[in-house]
Amino acid sequence: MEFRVERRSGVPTYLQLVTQAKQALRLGTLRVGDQLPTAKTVVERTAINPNTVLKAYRELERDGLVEARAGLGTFVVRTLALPDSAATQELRAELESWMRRAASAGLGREDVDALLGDIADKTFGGDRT
Amino acid sequence: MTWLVWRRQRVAFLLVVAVVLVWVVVLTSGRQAYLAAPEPTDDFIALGMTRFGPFWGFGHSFLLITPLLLGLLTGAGLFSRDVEQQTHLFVLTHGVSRRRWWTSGVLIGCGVVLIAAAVLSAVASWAFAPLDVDAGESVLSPAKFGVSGIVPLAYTLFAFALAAAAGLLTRSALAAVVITVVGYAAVMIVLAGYLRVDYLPPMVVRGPIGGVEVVGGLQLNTSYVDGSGAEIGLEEAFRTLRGCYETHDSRTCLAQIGITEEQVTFQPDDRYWAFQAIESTILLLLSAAVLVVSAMRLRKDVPV
Amino acid sequence: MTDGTGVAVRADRLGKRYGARWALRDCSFELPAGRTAALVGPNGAGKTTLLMIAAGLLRPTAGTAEVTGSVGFLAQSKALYRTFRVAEMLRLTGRLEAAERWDGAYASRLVDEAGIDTERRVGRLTPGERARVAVALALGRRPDLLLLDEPLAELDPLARRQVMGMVLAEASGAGTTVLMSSHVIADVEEACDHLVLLRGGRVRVAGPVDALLDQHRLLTGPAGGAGIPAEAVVLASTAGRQTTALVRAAALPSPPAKSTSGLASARPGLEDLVMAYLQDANDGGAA
Repeated sequence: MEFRVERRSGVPTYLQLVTQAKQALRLGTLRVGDQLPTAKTVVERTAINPNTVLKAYRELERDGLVEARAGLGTFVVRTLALPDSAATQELRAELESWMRRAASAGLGREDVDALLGDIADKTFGGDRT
Repeated sequence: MTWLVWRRQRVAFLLVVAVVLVWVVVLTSGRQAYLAAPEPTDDFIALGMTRFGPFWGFGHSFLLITPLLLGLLTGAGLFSRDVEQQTHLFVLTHGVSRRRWWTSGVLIGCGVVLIAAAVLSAVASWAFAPLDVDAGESVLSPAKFGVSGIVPLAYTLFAFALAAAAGLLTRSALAAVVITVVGYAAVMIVLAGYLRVDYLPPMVVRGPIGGVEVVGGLQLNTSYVDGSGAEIGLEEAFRTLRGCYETHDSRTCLAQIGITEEQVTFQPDDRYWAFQAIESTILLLLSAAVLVVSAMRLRKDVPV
Repeated sequence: MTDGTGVAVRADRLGKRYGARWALRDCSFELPAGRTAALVGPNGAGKTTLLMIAAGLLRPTAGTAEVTGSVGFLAQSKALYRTFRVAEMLRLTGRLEAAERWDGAYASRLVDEAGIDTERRVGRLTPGERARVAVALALGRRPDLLLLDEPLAELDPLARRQVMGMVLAEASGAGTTVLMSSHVIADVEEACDHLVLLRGGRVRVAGPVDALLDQHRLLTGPAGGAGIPAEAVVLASTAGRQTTALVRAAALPSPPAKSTSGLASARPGLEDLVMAYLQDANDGGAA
């Protein structure tokens, strides 16, 4: 995977790396056994301080998502991808049919995003990380 | 560091070689043309104009400033370009001391200009040899003296040293060129025009009026001497005796004011090598002085 | 090689005078080994002079600057021979440097990794490529301390990231201490973990970035600065009905006095901190 750093976002840089790694774990672009890019590679590509990268990797390690193996690198040990269960598939199908209805009712992408975000906020609380 | 100086100055060094080659061709062909020309006539003016006038005159004039050209080519950009473009910072932060940076440039530059000047001096002496016999000028005359022997080497060295030092001190090749041209001209005028004739006390020959003859050598002055041995200038005598000259011959008039002898002062030709050594030493000391001044800049805490 | 616990640069009342003008004066700071430090300050603050003294190119007029280990230096001009081919620059450096101190293979590899054809002439390279060649040549001597004078000046955004990425990646791999000057805080904000702030030839602030940020608070309150203890203020500015002040946390009353309780308090960003110290009226000692 490739990390991007948004310098003006106001979000601390290490947190941006953590978020991006978790996102990749959720979407399945990072899977168990995959190696995270070496700190050197990330530093080369993003020109951020190596300690920042190490801090992000330590945070991921604390969350039990990755594991540093001496001399080899940092590897994914747990994924955040949704379990591919029957329940997930059913939910997905329902959401797809709902989405079609929303589209035919004239809702645009942003309307849908706002609606979903609002409901998610009410259900899970305001914390979106 | 040697490699760097060669690589950096290679265009300048090639130009130096080109200048020397041009001179070799010009001097050789000039000599051939002179030797192939018909016997000289008695008409001195015609002789000067046609036979070796341009070659001899221009040849010597340009040879006298060639050391300046060689010095400028090798010296003006030697340090100034490094300092102007800050590339000396690269050299000085990659294991080279200031002293080594300066010394290698100076030594290689000196070597190149000395070899070039030596070749030029030798070729010029050879090419002008047949003409010099005909022209009958003293080897101490400004034109001949300055382009033969070891003096051209010393002038070249001085021009190089001045250009290199000025380039380092002003950090500008252009300023180095201007300073060197002015400094070289000043030194040459002072040495050749004023100091050279007095490097050693001139010889004096006295004899009856009209009877003193000096063969060869550089004649400096002719004057009259009265009975008490006092010297009287030709012009002074002429002014005093103007009335007398209208009615009497000069010898009679001169006798009236007690003048019985004339004297000639001159520098004999056999002092050639002594004079070469003296002038070269002066130029060497001047070169050393400007180089020392530039070396002192290295010790100062300016980001040379 | 440094062990990461020593001091890479120690300046003690360092001063440098050009004629009548002091370019540096009473500069004292320590840079621990292994840090990546930003040397920031406005133009003319003495950054180049300080780096040149540390590189041994200038002698200080007063005080001392001690540097541990070998030093690599990158001049702002990059100081490469523009008529030389890249290969010639590599060969030249190998000839200039003592054999035991020069890792030519490493420098060549860095140039190679940057994708630069060594047959090209230095003058024909883009500014970014030229900077990377210069960094490779500075790193080729395997320095314990790498001094960079405005390494990103005149580079486009992509080249900035490439050059900075190269410096950080190689320096962290070898444990090299880095001290880089810049007058653009955004260039060094993400890259550096240590700050040395120069102003008017003096060190105003020096220390680890995290600690410095922890030692300051950004207070926001009603205009007039009511309730903000004056002795703690580094710089206060008022816009409309609101006053913002950067203050030294240590000088705030503890526990928070009633007077300051109505103020919004936040940890400042590096830029807030730098800007405050560059503008404050106080010319006295460092924080």
